[in-house]
Amino acid sequence: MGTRAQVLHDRITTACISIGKESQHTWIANTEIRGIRAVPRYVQQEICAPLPATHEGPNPALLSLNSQRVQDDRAPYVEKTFNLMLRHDCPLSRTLARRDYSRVLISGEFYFYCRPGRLAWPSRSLYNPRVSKLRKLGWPAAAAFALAGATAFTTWDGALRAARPDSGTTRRLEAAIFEGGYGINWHQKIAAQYTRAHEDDGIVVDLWGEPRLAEKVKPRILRGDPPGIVLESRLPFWLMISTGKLLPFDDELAKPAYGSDRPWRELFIPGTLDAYTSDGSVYAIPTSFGAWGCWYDARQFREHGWSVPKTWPEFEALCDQIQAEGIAPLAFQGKYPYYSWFTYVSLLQRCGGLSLINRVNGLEPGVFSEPDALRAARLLQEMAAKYFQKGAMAMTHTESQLQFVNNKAAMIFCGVWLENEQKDTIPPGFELRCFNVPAVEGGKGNPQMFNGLGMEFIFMPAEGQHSDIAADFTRYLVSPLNAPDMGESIGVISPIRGGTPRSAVSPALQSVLDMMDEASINGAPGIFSCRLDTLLLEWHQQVMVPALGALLEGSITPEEFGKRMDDGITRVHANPDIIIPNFTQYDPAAFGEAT
Amino acid sequence: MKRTREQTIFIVLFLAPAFLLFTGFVAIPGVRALLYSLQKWDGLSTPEWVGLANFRELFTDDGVFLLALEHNAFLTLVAGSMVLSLSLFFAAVLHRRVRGATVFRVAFFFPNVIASVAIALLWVLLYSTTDFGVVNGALRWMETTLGWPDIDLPFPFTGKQYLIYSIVPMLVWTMTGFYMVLFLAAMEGIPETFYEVAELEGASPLSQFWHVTLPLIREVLVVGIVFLAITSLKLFEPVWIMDNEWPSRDTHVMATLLYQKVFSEYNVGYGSAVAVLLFVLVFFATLVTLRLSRREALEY
Repeated sequence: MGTRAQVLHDRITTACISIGKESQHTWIANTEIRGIRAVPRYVQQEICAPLPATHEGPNPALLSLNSQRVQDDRAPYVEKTFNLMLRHDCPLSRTLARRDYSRVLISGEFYFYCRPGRLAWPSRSLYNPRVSKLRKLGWPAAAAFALAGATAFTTWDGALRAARPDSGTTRRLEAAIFEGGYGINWHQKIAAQYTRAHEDDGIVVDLWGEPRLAEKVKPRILRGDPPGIVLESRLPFWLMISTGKLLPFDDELAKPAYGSDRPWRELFIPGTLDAYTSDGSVYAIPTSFGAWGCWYDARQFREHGWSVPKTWPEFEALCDQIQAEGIAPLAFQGKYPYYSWFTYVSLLQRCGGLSLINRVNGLEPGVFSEPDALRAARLLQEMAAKYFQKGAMAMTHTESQLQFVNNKAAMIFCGVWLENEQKDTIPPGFELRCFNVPAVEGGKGNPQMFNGLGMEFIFMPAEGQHSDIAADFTRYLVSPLNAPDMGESIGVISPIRGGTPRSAVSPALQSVLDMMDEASINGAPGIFSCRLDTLLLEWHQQVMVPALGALLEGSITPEEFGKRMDDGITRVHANPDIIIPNFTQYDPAAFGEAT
Repeated sequence: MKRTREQTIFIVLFLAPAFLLFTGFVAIPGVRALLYSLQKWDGLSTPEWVGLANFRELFTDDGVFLLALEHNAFLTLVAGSMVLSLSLFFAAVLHRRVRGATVFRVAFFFPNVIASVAIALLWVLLYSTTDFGVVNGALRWMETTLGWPDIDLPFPFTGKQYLIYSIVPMLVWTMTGFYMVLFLAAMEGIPETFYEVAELEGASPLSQFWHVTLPLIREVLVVGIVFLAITSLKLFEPVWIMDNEWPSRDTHVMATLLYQKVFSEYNVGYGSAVAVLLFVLVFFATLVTLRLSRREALEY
């Protein structure tokens, strides 16, 4: 049973109609726009004539209408553009369904252009038949509402960007890119290259970005006018997938990649496409590869004679040694306990192997209370209690990372973005390097593997314009062709396998590439990741982060931690609104783990 | 008296701006929020009417709303009563003309001219566990010289466990000045003769305050209490900033929970339900305070 708005939606076609005239000397008589009556009688007849007489009211086929002035190169005499919603049983609806853009002559001097599918939200339509009743309230009320409406409309529209319309034979793709640590200069350079290469096809890529991108893009998704592609992590993507607001990249993934003959899909590091894969369809393309490890200053290690630990006991011994020399062993981004999630997931794999990761990804009840999971939580808690820098739980990521680059703490668990994030504060001579989360004694997991995943995903909103260009541009952006330049320009490891040559990146990122090489098992890169943090937004915010915080502070036991996490998962299962898509199971045997 | 047409136009014209602003920015969004609170809506799909389910969820969920409410209540009662007593004390002292009253008045009022976000950031730095942290620095100095307090330093004041308590001094520092000026202005309005009479009768400064000052600023005091309750219930920036835009159940107050539910978890219905309850609470807090304190105003 659908709601009223859905029922409506099933029975209507939306269109944008431009009404104009052939000659310069005759004008549409009725220039005053007041609801439906503004449409010339000819148009009304054309639309409504064949409808059965049972319909009441002046215009049963026309469900909603609003108007705007347009500039349209193709029709110099276009006078007004109307957004229409038409019932399916009117002939114009069928015309629209057949053609992408049609020019319909109505009478000798008037014509209109139709374009289907411009209005996406029938329930939010500007036209409401009840508005006319307002006139009874007299002019003050009407004027007041008009002014309020106008103010709201101008501020609303002015505050938000809108896609630049196509003009002539030019087709414009709007790309909105989150402006974070990596900036958008490189993306703009690639967009310019792409535009130059497609000059003859009349394709232009408008690429813009800013730090608060999510706030700009979300209203546009609601409005049904989103950019062609969006790179942003703070939108509810699973929700958008389930409501059909994102397009899959499946067809594009089958095409050969730029700079290679092989299909695009085969070139990705296995696992990096999994994050937003639903029923076999890939809804997001990562633009960078994220790896989780422990970072240290090789120079400091050399000077003190410390060596990189391979196992957890070695790691603890190293921490004790560092502590004995009066240095804090580990900095930690304590204001965001979420940072320890990735270390915890790494330890889950170390203790329980990929089969445990599979069970976590499968949201198995009670999985966080299994002995292996409890052991991971205990290791994390012990590490925090013994080795975290004093006061770390009140430090932000930048504060704690600053402690690390200033050698006040010897190591820090962080993602591959650390170098870029601290690039202005890393002192000269600091040799930033990364090592894998150490192996635990008797652990079931293959310790060569690491927590790695696709990041900085690009999405293709279903209502954005030119999805063909959008998909093609994404394929161009994330390609073997551009990966080396990406590494060189902004220090990003491409999710394209082997796409980023060692020579293109800094020594810090080279150490990540080394970690990847070591993790390569039987020719497959040994990476794993847990999807719960991006899949379950509420669980993430209300259960996982506070529970991790409490665990690290020592205010709950690992058992209580496991129970809190499990209880959260139980509530997820009880909530029918939460979509839990299928996921790709890891094969423990393929990575040399016992099953 | 019959109104002329000109008068009507005049009235309408003068009422229109306020009416428009109120309609556009308060009434319509308010009603919409009320409707949202009865819907299940993620901001993208079609809203679905669910009746009071969102409100039920507030109280049966994992209790995060109740925790937030508790934090609000704590801040209202503890910080509120501290602000109230301190501001009354300072106002009374300044009213009795201590030396340097003007300087104190400016100094106490000063936090009010700083943006609340800047204040929160300032206190983040004060509390910092890095070398910037003045508070931890002072504690460390005390510990080395006096041997007290014997705790593990630096103390994570803004860590999730302690944040709500750490906010109290900040609120007191921020808000006392405003209420002090408010009460002081009321006290300045009391005719000097009352005090002269009290003095002749042999009343001590304390009983003068209790029997003369307090009853005569009653009206303003009540307004102050209402303001305080509303401000503490609607508290947002300190928690939001001090917890780095990422509060969790340990630190949520109602306003931050509302924001996070709507803008991070896309649960518009739940967030609106919080907003509606927040409104109801503020409304009743105001109503009750006003009702309890209703008494004839003394004219002098």
